Amino acid sequence: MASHLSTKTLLVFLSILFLPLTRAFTVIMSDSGAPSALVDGPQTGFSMNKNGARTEPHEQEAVYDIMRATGNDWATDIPDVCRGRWHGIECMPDKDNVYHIVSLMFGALSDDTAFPTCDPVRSYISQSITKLPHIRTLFFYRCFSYNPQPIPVFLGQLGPTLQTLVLRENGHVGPIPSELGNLTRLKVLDLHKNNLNGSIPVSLGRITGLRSLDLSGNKLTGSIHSLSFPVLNVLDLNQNLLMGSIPSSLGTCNSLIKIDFSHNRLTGPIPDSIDGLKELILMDLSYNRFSSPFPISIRNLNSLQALILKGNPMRSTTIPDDSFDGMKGLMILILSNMNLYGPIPKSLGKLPNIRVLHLEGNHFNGSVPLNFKDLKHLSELRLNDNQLSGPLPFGREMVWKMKRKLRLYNNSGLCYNANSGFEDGSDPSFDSGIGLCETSPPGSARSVQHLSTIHGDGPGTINGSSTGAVHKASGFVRLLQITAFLVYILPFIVTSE
Amino acid sequence: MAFPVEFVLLVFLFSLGFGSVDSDDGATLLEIKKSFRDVDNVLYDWTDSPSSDYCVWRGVICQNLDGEISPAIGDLKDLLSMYCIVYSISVHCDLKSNRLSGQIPDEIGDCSSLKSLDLSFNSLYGDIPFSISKLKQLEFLVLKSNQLIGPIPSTLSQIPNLKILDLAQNKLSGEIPRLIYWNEVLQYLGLRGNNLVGTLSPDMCQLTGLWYFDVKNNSLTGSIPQNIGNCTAFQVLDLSYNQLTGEIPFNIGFLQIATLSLQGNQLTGKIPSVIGLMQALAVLDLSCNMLSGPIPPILGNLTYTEKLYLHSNKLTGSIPPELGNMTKLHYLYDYLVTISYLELNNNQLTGRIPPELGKLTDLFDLNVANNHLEGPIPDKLSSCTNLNSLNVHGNKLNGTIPPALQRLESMTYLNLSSNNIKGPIPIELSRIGNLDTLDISNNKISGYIPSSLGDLEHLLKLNLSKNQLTGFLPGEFGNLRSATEIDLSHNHLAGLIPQELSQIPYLFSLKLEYNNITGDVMSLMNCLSLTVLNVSYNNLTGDIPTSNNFTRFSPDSFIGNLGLCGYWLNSPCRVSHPTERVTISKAAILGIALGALVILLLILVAACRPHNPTPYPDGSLDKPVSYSTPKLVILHMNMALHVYEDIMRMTENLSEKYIIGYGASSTVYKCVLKNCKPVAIKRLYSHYPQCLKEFETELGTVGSIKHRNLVSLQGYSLSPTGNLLFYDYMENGSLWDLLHVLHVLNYLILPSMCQILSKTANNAVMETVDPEITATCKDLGAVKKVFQLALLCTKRQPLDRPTMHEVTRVLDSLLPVSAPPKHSTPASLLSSGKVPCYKDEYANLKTPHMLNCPSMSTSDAQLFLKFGEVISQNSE
Repeated sequence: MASHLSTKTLLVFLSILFLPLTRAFTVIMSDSGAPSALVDGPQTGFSMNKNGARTEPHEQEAVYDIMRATGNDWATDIPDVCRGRWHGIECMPDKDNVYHIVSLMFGALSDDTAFPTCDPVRSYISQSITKLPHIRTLFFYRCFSYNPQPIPVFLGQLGPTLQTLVLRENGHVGPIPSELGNLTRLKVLDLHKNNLNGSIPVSLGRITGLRSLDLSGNKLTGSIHSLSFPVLNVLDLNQNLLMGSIPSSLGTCNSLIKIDFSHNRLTGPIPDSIDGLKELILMDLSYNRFSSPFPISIRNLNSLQALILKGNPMRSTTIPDDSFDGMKGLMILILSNMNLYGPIPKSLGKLPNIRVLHLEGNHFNGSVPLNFKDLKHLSELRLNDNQLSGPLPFGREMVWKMKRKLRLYNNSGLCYNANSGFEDGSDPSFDSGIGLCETSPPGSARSVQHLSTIHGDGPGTINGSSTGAVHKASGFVRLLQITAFLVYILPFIVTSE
Repeated sequence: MAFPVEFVLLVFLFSLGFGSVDSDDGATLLEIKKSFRDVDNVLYDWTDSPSSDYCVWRGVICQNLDGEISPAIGDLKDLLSMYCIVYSISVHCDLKSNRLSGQIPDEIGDCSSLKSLDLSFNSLYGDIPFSISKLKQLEFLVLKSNQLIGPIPSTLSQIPNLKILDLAQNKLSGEIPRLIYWNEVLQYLGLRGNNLVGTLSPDMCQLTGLWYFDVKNNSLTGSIPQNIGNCTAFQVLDLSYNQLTGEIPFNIGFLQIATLSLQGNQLTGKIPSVIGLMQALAVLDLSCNMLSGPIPPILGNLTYTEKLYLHSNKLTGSIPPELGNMTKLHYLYDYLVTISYLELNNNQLTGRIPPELGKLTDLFDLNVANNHLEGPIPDKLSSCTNLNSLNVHGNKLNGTIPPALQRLESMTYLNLSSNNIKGPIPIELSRIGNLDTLDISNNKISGYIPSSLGDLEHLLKLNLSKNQLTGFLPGEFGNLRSATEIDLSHNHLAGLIPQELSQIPYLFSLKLEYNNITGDVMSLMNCLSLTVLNVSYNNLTGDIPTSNNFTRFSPDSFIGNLGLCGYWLNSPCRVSHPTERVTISKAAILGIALGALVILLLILVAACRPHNPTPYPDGSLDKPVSYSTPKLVILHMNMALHVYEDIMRMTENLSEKYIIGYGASSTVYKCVLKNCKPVAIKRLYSHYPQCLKEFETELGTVGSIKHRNLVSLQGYSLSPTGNLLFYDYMENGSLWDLLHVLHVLNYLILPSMCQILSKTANNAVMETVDPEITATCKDLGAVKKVFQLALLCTKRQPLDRPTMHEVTRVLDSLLPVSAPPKHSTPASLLSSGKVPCYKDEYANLKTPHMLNCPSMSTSDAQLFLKFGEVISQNSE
């Protein structure tokens, strides 16, 4: 029967025939990384570890300890933690068919994963974790929230094997132990949303194989020291109390696809060395204290899709006109509230894929560049709270498409041309916040603006229906309305006097 | 029948701010309302009048319960102000005027504590707003089935807790942003049915927590990433219906997934043999690609696979006999798990049909059509006693039809057409009583038609054409009461058209052309249902009747019969008696005219009658498919032979004696199936039509996910007596089983959710509370609180439900201060034999359909409380 089968298949069938419950197929991976000789290959979860195969007894005891420490006492009733596929526990065999624990995951992520949950009041990480010589992944999610504790120093002993360390939203306190720097094989370090303080340990710089570093949502202080992670893809330090400037060595991490330093206290200029980050897709530096000049090197970030710099009150900075030349992939550009001066750079109008453009809350003056009419994909445009003037270069189509996502109010003299689509919108709740351009000298535009400030219920609101009504009227009707309005307010003026 | 079109807008606003009453929430809600068009009649009471308390707005429930609250918080009013949950807006409405339309408002970004946003099944258009990425608490973002355009923003990767991202069925374009994959907690990524382009990034395996990855029906190109084997958390991987090219990577075999769907791409190369080692695989669909080479024999190792689809490829070689090994004793439940669907059709397979396939005793559907298979149909196939459909059409099979096929009693579809099969039609075929299609056309079958074929009372289609059959048409065909199509053409049949054919009530098509049939066609005159008739090229004689609307058949139906006289002008025998017509007397003409008038009137009366089914004697209505009986959707082989009526019969219309347990929303019955295996039937008390569709869809999905950690859903039925769910009946499931039940549960509570939704939509939470409660309970505030706690526990998303710990804290806080809970020694509780039972009850609580705990008859609520007590005592 087996004569026409390949040798490999023959082996498989033999093993099925004679050792029906052992693993059927093994591939020794060159890249297993760990010093141990675990056999990597398709896991046959059903049949594994019955006849002949067994779990390393010390590791089994260690798992019981860890489970007890997280309030999962029931787990000590499991006769063999590697038998069956327990959610949250992964095992792999070595050459001698002894099973070792390679992954432990805890926390109520969802019912679909059904990891063992933690008792948040009394859970802790058991030191027995250090008795797992093959552990590659540790994942604790929302585990120790009511039992605040520091990140255990002994985790640093897992250096030879640990590849993923995730301690998310666990309420950990104290500093990041510098011993974590011993985890030199780490690829993912995720300490998101704890209560960690102190500075980022210099020792983390030793983990050169790091691909994702997420320290966001903590209370980390100090500065970001030299960064040298050649394969780092994701660097997320947002929502901390970090100070100082961005080290220029950031530019050497040229595998980065995401940088998020938002909501910190970072200062100084954005280093020009970032122009080496050719793979960067998202950069969020918002809500810091970065200073001028405006980083002109960003235009070399060819892959950049989202750039968020808002909330950095740069001192009276103008954006060079060619700042965004050639950023073909840019879809989201957020430059709100940055104290920017001067005209809106024309190169913005040449961004072929821009969809979200927020320039509000600056001091831009002059007119909106004519080539803004070419921004076919624009879906959100905020120009409000600037000192822009002159007619908007859009046609009716763009106005209709953006609707309420076009924000123009609070500009000194921005207006729209007749037939541009502003005045005949059918949506009564839509108010563009600007008036019709007068063909007569520019002084009249101001009077329109003045009128809408009185008439509407305050700048910045978008539900001022009365202003909307004014703007929807044609010039003649408007004149009538102004008269009516004057007649209407006259008694009030008189009585107030 | 016009169903009211239903949509649900679920917006959960969890305002985490611990401040006082925050009118900002109300303002935000108003802004959100403004962004949708035509919702005034839906959200009519969402107004900004000064007295307006948004907590009483339609669909808005202000909630006060959350894990963060300490038990110290007492007054309900304070609590109410803290959490505003726009709970649900469930409205029956007309499709045109009331569907939510417009863009997703920017203001949604101001709901900074929004945890779940579900705007699915509306007509929202425009881009996904940038501001959504500001929702740092967001865990569920469900925007499926809208008209959204533009790319998926990379900034969605800035939502740190995103667990479910479902953007399916929109018009999103661009590439799948690489950054979406960098997420430790994302569980579910649904992008099916968009216009996404580009390639799949190797980064997709950074989704270390993801179990569901679905990009079906997009325009993705490139190859499957080589490192796909690193996506070890995936359980469902659906890349089907894209334009993926290249080979299937070898290390795909490292995945432990339950469903692998790669169909409808342009994949080339061989099927990697390593797929045979993906032992968790329940569904493997590689169909409609350009795969070549042989079927790896090691696929026979897939002992847990229920569906294997390899059809429409360029596979060569023979069908490996090892496929017969795809059967295995279930390691937990001691029943055979075997493949049910094996579809290898439309390939270039050669060789014989391996007799080993006969070992697949639970095989339901075997399709090897349109290959180059030779040799006989193996007798052994008759061991597949559950075979429902066998299709070997379009091969080069020879030999005879094995009489042993009679053992396939449950077969409904048998297609042996277009082969080289010889010999007679075995009389045994007529013992396959469930056949609805029998097609042995285009072979070399000879001999007589066995009259016993008339015993196939369920037969709908009978095709014996293009053979060498001789003899007569059996009059017993008149017993084929269900038949709609009979094709006996291109044979050597002789004799008369039997009178009995007119007894077949629904006969639609009758093809007898190219035979040697004699006699006249008068016997067909009463076949009123007949629409397609072809008796051409026979030896028929006599007149073609003109009554009974027989003229509906065109002359082509009758040509080639020299002796047959037609009603049309150039009919051959018309011209032979031209004089007879002129000799008709005037009286005769008058008589004919009167007769014609009467007939015309009769026809008119018949046409104007309502289109009720023609009243046939009761006997004839007995067996044909009755469309009024509820559909029983079968998801598991166990139930293959059953129809709704069977279940009703076996449980004596869900009689009380079969009840084995009650739940809050259901009753559970035990039913022993025809194969002697028991199933548990969960009957959900109430169902609302608006939920049916989603209910059904979700059930279909769940049913197709066959995984060892899932309690297998074997089938369901949406019947007037309540929705029925059929589960594995587990007499002695282990603790492990109980603790590892997955997401099936989420769907079980759906109907009860609907009930609650419709109540809350009417803004009358308390209406659902028993009015008599006022007699016994004075503190209605506490009642309301408990009720709302219970409401939280019924949230569709498990993560929205409070943990047991939180529940007990809240319940604790409700206890009178004078009577604190007794702190009995927790250690003894833990060590006592009672504890496991509480665990069981907890599992039962989550899985009311699992029936092993003796105390299951107590209500869920009691268990809930009991469990709460234990936890609170233990955690002190």
